[in-house]
This record gives sequence, structure tokens and C-alpha cells, in this order.
Amino acid sequence: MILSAYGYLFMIGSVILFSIIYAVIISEKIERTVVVFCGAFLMIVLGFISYERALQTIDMNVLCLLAGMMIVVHILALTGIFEWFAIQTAQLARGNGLLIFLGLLNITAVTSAFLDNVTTLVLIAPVTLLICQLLELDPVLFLIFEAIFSNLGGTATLIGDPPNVLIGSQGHLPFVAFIDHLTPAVMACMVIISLLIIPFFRKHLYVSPQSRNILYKANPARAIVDPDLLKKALPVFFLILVGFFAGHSLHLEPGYVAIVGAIVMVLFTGKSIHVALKSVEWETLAFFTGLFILIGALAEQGVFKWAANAVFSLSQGNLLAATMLILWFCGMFSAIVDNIPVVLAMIPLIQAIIPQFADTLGIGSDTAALTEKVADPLWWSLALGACLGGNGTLFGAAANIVTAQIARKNGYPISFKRFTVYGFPTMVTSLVISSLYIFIRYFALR
Amino acid sequence: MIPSLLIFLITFILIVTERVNRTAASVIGAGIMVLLGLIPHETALEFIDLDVIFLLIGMMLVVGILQETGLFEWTAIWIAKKSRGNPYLIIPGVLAATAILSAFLDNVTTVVLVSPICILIAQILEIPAVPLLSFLALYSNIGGTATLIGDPPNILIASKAGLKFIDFIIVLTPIVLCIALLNLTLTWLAFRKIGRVSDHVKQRFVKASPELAITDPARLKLGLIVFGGILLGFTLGQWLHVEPGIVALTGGFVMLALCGENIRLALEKVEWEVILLLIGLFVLVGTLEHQGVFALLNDVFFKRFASSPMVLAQIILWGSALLSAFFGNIPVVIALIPLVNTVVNHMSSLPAPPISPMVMWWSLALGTCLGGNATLYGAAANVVTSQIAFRNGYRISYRKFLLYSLPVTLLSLLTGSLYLLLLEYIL
Repeated sequence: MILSAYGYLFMIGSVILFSIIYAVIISEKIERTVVVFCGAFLMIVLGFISYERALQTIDMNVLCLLAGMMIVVHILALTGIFEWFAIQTAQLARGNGLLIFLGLLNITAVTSAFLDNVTTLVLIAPVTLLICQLLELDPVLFLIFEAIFSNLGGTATLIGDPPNVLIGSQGHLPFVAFIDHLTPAVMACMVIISLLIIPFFRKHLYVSPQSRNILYKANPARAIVDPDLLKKALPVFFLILVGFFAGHSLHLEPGYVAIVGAIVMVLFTGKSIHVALKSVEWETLAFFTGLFILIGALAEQGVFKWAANAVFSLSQGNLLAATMLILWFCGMFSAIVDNIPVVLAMIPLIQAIIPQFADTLGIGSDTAALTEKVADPLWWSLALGACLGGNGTLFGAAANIVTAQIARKNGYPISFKRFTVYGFPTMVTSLVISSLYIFIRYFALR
Repeated sequence: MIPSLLIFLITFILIVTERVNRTAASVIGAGIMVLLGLIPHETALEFIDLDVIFLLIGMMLVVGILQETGLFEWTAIWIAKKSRGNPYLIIPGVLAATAILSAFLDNVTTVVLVSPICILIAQILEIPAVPLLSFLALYSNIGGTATLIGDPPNILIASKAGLKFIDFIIVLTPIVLCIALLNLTLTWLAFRKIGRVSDHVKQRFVKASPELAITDPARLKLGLIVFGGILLGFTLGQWLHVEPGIVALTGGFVMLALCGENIRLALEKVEWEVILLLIGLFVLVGTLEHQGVFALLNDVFFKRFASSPMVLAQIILWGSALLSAFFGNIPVVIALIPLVNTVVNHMSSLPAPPISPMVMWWSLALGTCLGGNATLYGAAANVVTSQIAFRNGYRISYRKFLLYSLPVTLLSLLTGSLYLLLLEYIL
């Protein structure tokens, strides 16, 4: 992409403004929602993005999904189903902290592979908080790793994480291809990361005999405080879940299913809409809105395109170098900003570069060989980099932000620093594993 | 086109009759439209006017903060004190204050704040409270007509028509001023039987100290500075290319931060039910537009009047007022905006439009804002006033309200109608 000197000046300006805003948010001195909105306002006033474009970059799907799921969780919480689930899980694991920890992480990862990450966390977080209160464990540790594992699990399938949906639709890759190529890598990451973190947190996962005694005496059936409500709410909840799955073929976005489903649930259970709407974390929604505009301004100024171009010129026609650069660049970039604009900028470049590599390798028009030798390594490194990179910082993925807000609401603030201390090493580990996976599968074994 | 029209009508009836919760009806109605494929998902989202949503949320945040400072009570008590208990000064004074406040604040908020003071004044002066409260609601709607942010119909119209804050000040504020002054004669008729007030009662007004109403002077100062900044942002916005929505929302958050409010609590107080109702309505009406209903209406009916736009402007004014009186002005304005937009586009495409097509937007604004005054259910402020009155032991019945509202509405609309004729020559 060729920019005029004026264009470069604007691009650098937007990056500087973004960096300042980002630094202020990370410092956590001022409410982040306020900072993000002042930032978005400045981006518009200074002309980095027009007001119309700014409104278009707001992802209503994410906002509706969040609002809808929060209402659903609010009603389900009134029934006591989360307590029931928490006691059942803890008793099944015999009050063993380590077992519960790994169990919850695996449930999160598997659920995330099929449901949206944000939905998974909104559902699993209340259960986790209850278990931790019951067994006197540190909920922040649990929640952070659940966010991380939801990102890991989401990487495994086409529908698990938004970048995969984009890659699948624009790269014309089928559902099974994602399971074939990504699931092994994700499973390797999950096993190795689990093994690595256990020694660190063993002490934190100790459950005292007293808590264990209380747990044994608890009767899960008594946790259901409102069975009538549960009978009305559960069918609607399952309908919503069906809607999420069917939505992909019916072209109904999860956000639509969640918000309409939530209102139906409120009506069906005879609850007050006024109260239900108060249970939504509007601050989280406001923060996302501002963040979308900030990142939209960077995209508008061509920051992502410029960076993606730089990556390709660095690779100098070497396929292995190109895949590694894509993987690590997307990983690092996705850790700082949202991964979707990164993926959107990379996709057209990958599409453009596949024939070039085909020429240099002398494959020509043999489509099977083209897919296997050139397209596969490039697409899968993009997917792995963008999805796994989200674990790097608190703002890398929507699931992380939502988790932090839920934790904060319940009195356990998750700071940017604490998340990054756990998330960044995990991200680097998973990227190293992915690099090895790509090298072995697509280069060493060929 | 037929199924979309059918779903729309059923939903609309459910919304205005409130048989089901209005928000639920509008969201589910919109959901059915998308589910049946009458409108693609992405198109539906495009019809949601985020600028309007932002502006409403922002203003709700701002008003929530200012409300707690006691500023509005101060204003009313100050007027009472200055009028020295003279009913012929105090009643116009309170009504004028209501109109001015509601020009800058949401109408509902205005009546919520001023109603208790009105009741107090009525009790002290020993005059009937029901007419005073009725006029309060009427004047809040009249005042709201004057500015872009005063009444939701104006916010909606401005966003779609691309009209600026300053346009409203230039075109609508003068005529609203006239309407408010003319209606004072009706007020005088309603209250003419009040005799002199005894000196004993007057003393109470003289002694009143407005300063006591201010609960937090430091916060008030900060709040007012930010509010001034927001108003400045509205006026400067058109040169900086920022629309009112982002100004209000950013201003609201800045005010929250400066005044040390809890953002979570402040956001909880926003009327999300109204916001969600609007989102549903946007999609419902958007589906009709997508299905070509408005284009058809324009072809069949409005095209005929393209050559005589004066008639058309009057039809829009009186028609929208009549609809608003029965259905409430917010759903009506959302439904009519695309129709008027089609008409305006059609007129602009003509080689030499006889008058500025923008007149149509002003007719719609005057019709829906002022038409809402006609009945107790025409505007949200009327309903809220009657609820507050009821809680204080005064019943404003539908008929009783009509007694005051009908003359006021007719006078306002007539004035507006004449003004439109004038406007056609000016623009």
C-alpha cells in the first residue's frame, strides 16, 4: 500500500493517540470507560475517523450478545441452577482443588469450541465464583485461566472464535478442515500449559478439611430455590443454545439470538424487563463501544494494512519465514488490540500472496498441491496467531474484558498487570508450541 | 411487503395499547422480521440509529447528575421568591421556567423535577393543582420543541435529516417562543378566577431561600461547566464534524468522572427500557422501508402534492399531530421519518423545487412535538405528570386534561401552521 506523506503523518498520529489512551487505561488511574470515550471522541474530532464510519465500526453483534446473555444469566441465577452446578462439580471432584481447577478449565475450553467465548464465560463465571467461595479458593486465579482456556478452546473450531469465522468464510475453508488442522495444535497447547501451570498454583488450590466437610454436607437439590422458574427458564435457555448452533446455517448472528431469546425468556418467566435490564453490565458494553471506535480509527488510517505489508516484505519470499512471521506478528498484535482488525488486514494479503508462492515453488495450477503446500500453512498460522494472541493481555480478547468486569462486580478486581502476568507467558508458550506444530506438520514432514 | 406490514401493525398496536410490555413487543416484533428474512441481519443493524441512542443515553446521564445537585428546585423556588406571591407572576414564571428547562433537558425529567414544586406552590396559594400541573406538562412539551435535544422527536428527526443544533435554534426557537406566549392567554383564562393572595401567604414566598435547595455546590459547579461544554460541543459540532450523540455521551462520562459518581450506578439509572424499545422500533420501521412500503406510499399518495408543497407541509403537520395524539409521538415519529425522507428526496430530485424540501422536516417536528400535547397519552411527560399528581392525591383524568390540552394544542398547531406558510417564503 502506498501512502502519501500526509497519509503517513495521519497514521502515525492515530498510533500516537492510541498509545497514549492505551497507557492511561492500563495505568488504571481513571475509569477506563471514561478514558476510552474521551479517546474515541478525540479520534473523531481530530479526523482520524469520520463519525459515520465510527458508528459503523461498533460491533452491535458483540453488544447484543453481551446484553442478552447477561439477562439470561440473571434469570438463571435466580433459580439457583448455578449453585446446583457448582456443588455437583465440587462434590464430583471430591473437593480436590486441583481436580476442580482442571475440570473447570476443560469444561470452559470444550464449551468455547462450540459456543462464543463471551457466552461461555458469562455462563461459567457465576459457577466458578460460587465454587471458590464454597471452598475458600482464589476466584481471580480461576477466572483468569478460564478466560485463557476459553480463547484456547475457541481456536479449535470454525465457530469457536470470530477470527476463525472470518478466515473460514473468506478463505473458503470447511468446518472439518479447522478440526483437522487446528484441534491437534490446540490440544497440545492445553495439555502442555496445564502441566506447566500446575506446579505454580498447587499451593493456591489447597482446600482445607473444614471447607471439604461443608461441601460433603451440602445437598445440591436444595440449591434450586425456585423450581417453577427453572422449569420455565430452562426450555428457553436450550432454545437459545439451539439458536446459536442453527444460527450459523440460518445466518442469524449470535447477538440476535441472545437478545431476542433473553426478552422471550423474560416474558415467558413473567419477570420484569425493567429489573432484568438493570442486571446488564452496561459499563462493559460502553467500554466495548469506545474500544471499537478506537480500533476502528487505527484500521481507518491503514495501520493494520501497513503492518501486514511490512510482515510480507520481511519474509522475502521464504514460505517458512512468512508463516512464522504471520504467526508471531498476529499473536503480538492481537495481544494489544482486538484480533479481528488484524485478521481483516491479513486476509487479503494472504489471498494475494498464495499465487506468488505457488509460482516460486513451481506448483502452477495444481489446486490440491497448492492448498496443501502453500495455502494451509499460511491460513493456519494466521488462525493460530490471531486467536492465541488474544491471551496476551487483558484487552486482547473480548472474553478477557468480560471476565474482568464480572470479577470486579463481585468484588475481585482483575488488574491489567495481574492478567498479563498469567496471560503473556501462556500466550508465548502457546505460540512456541504452534510454531513447532506448523514446522513439523507442514515443513519437516513434507 | 404484506407480511412485513402485518407484523408491523400487530406490533405497533401491542406497543401503543401496552397489552404486552412495550419493549418486549418491539424487540420480539423486530426479531420476527429478521427471522422471517423480511430484512437481512446486517441491514437491520444499519437501521439502528446509534447517534440517537448515544444522545439519549448521554443526556440521561447528564440529567441524572444535575438532578441530584438541586439545581432545578433552586430555579423554581427562586421564581417563587422573586414573584413575591403574586399569582399572575408566579404561574407564568413557573411555566416559563419549565419550558426553558425542558428545552435543554428531557421533558419527562423536567416534569419529574418541577411537579413537586408546582404542587407545593398550588397548596400555598390555595389554587387548584390539577390545572397547574396540566399546564406544566403542556409547557414542558412546548419548550421541548424549541431545540434539538429538547424532545425525542427532534433528536430523531435531526439525526435522519442531518439538521444541526443551530438549525433548530434558528427555525424552531422563535416560533416556540411565540406559541408559549400566546398560550399564556389560555393560562390566564384557566386561572382568572384566582383573587388576591393574602399578605400572610405572600410572606412565605418572600422568606423562601432557594440556596437551601442546592445540596452540593461544588458538584453543581463542575456539572454546569461540563454541561456548558456539551452545549458548546453541540453548536461547534457541525464544524468539527462531530454529531451530538458522541458529544453527549463523552460529556456524560466526563461529568461522571469529574463529579466522582459511580459509573455503574449511573448507567443503571439510564432508562434502558426506552432505549431497547427504540432499537426495536428502528428495526421494525426499517423493515418497512427495506420492503418498499414508504416508496409505495410516496408514489401513490405524496407524489401528487409535490407540485403544491404547501399543502403537503400542512398535511404532514396536522396528520402527524393527530397520529401523535393517539399513539404517542415517539413511535409515530419513527414511523413517519422514512416517509418524510422519501418525500424530501423526491422533492430534492425535482429540477426546481418550489420551496426548500427542509420545510417538511420542520412540519414533522412541530406536528409530533406539539401534537403530543393533545391527549394524556400523547407524550410521555403527560403520563408522568398525571402519575406524580396521583401520588400526591390529585387525579388528572383523561377528560380533565383534554379540557386544557385541546385548546392549547389547537392554538399551538394553528400558530405552527401559519409559521410554516411564512417559512415557505423565507427558505
